[in-house]
Amino acid sequence: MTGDSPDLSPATRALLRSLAASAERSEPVAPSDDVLVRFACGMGDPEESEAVVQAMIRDGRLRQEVRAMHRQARELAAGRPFADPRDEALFATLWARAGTLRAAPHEDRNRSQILRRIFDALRRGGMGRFAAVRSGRERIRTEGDLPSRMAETFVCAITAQGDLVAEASVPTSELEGIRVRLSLADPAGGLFALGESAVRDGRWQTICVGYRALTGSEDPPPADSLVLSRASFLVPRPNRPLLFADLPSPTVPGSPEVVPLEVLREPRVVGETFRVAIRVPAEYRAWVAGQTLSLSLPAGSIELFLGRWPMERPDEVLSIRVEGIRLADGPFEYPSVLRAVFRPT
Amino acid sequence: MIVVEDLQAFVSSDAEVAERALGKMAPQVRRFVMSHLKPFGIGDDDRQDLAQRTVVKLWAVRNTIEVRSLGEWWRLVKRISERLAQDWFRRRGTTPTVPDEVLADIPDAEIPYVSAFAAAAIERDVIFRAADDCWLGARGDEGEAQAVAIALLVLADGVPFEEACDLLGVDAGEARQRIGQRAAERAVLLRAAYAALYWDNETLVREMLGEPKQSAVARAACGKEGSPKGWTPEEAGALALRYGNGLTSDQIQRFGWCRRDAEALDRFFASVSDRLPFVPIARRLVSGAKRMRQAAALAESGLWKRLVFQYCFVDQIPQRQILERTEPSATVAGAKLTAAMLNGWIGNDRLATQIARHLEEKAR
Repeated sequence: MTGDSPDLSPATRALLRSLAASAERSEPVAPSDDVLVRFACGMGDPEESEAVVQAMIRDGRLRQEVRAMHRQARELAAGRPFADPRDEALFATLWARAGTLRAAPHEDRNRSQILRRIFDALRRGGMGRFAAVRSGRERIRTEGDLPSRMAETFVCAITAQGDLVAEASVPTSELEGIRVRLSLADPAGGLFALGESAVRDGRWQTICVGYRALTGSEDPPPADSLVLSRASFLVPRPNRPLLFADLPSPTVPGSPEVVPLEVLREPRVVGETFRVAIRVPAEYRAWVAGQTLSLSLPAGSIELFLGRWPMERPDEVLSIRVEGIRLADGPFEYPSVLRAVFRPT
Repeated sequence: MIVVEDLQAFVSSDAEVAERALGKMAPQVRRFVMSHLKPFGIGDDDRQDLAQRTVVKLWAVRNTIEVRSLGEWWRLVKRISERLAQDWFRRRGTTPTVPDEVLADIPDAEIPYVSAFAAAAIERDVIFRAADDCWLGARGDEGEAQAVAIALLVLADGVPFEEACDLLGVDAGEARQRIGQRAAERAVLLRAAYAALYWDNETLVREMLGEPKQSAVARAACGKEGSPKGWTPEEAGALALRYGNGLTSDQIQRFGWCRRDAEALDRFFASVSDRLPFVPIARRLVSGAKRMRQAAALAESGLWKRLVFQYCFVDQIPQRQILERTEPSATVAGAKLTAAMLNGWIGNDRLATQIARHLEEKAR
């Protein structure tokens, strides 16, 4: 550090003072809500993350806000399994198979916990039509830098609706938070991605919506045709709208890639129910009719599936309610990364 | 930014080239004159007029200018603006209120300091990064910002280290260990302490008032009731003017809506000084720094000089208010900060001089 120096002449000092007072400085730019949310969920790209870190250094209040978002994302990711506990058919299928659990008290609000216990039971028992890989017998294939013994147990099942649900227990703590993709190996050696999510609390779950329609298969794929590999994080696109809808590109030739949906009111959690109102622009309403809207929430590095809603004759405003969200009442901290996907019903 | 090439273009015989250079240089010259003539006691409108006349004069004499450095250029701008100001006073039959030695010419030996300072001042943020470098020892390298953010979360906000790392996406294991070591470095600690203790005018007002939707001054002027944090509209307006604009009690009491006199305002500000955020933050910082065995760094003058420099040149608040924002927390940190010291740092321009010498050394 430079020490105290002998004074320069008063005229020079006056000049320096004026230069300092007229010095160029950049106006600090506050990161947008979208950028903050992505950062808090661990999905920011390096450039925007750097901007958020600089803003956090400048602003103590912003640090508190980002911290609150991060905490909420973690709570959600930890408290809610990927498989949708409100999926009646899935629940009925699993309930029927989980003979050991039938004596357990059964309340709607405990469904997500019950689902977890069912998965545990399934892993222990390896029942019915579930493809299961258990420790010490055969192992599911892994690729890339994932350890070959990544999954201690692995089960997957076809739900009555034709979705594929897969779950694995991951004893290696190094894989905690790592996003893992489940793929189906075809005979020609290619890989078809079925789903991906992050390892949380030693568990990994994913769901492939419409698996039966996709493959024409009534049964889960044989375990030796499944591959686990590391998936990259979601890459945010620039200028991502507040709420966006991705379309699988081959669905409707010439259809828009992103439907500009708009969240009308601040999404809130009231009595463990998440409420959001979404406006579909008039020019897309006809196109949306006949599709099914899937809503999910990338929280932390896991994509939380919130539910599916068929759009037979969509109103201008879709009022969505998702029950079983275990968060305190109040505004939802990060609506900007709600993901809406339309698929043909 | 004005560089020596711009100066050469400005004095070029090609009028088109010279005009382009003028267009680039004029805004900064105007800003400089506005700031430089402020102590002369000339109102805003007249200063703007003098700033424009300075630009016109520079253009008129450009064929006779011989400038070899930025220092010489600014010496010339200073000289012309001061002469125009003296003419302005003469026409009104008065004299400038600044001492003659300030109006004197810049000695040749000091031109390199002016050049180095001017080069930094005209480039965005450079002068402030130089201040970080000079007084906090910041390197500004990759990873420093992340380490500073971790140190801030842990020391100023009381967030557990592991949670701070999670929030900033620092991987577990070696990376976390590295960032922990970096966050405990003296320079990182000082930058974090500076960031925690520096509250720009706007943020400080927001904190004091509880983030009003409508400006406090506007509310006070409209006489609307119901201010945040329980302030009356008059109190909120006074706080906004003092902490947001650096006005003195004397200046505030002249507003029509203010019913208190200057003394009553002084008493009011004294009574709310314990609501300023600085001391609790300083306590947390000192306690954390003690755990890191770096508490001595907070007691050195560097951190406090950096804060005073910012409040003086960016927020442009009076010395007394700078002391109010720094002295209580300096005391907590074990540093000594007095009105006399601040007078030397600001009144005698020791801080600006120190930066000029620091920049000149680096430029050598």
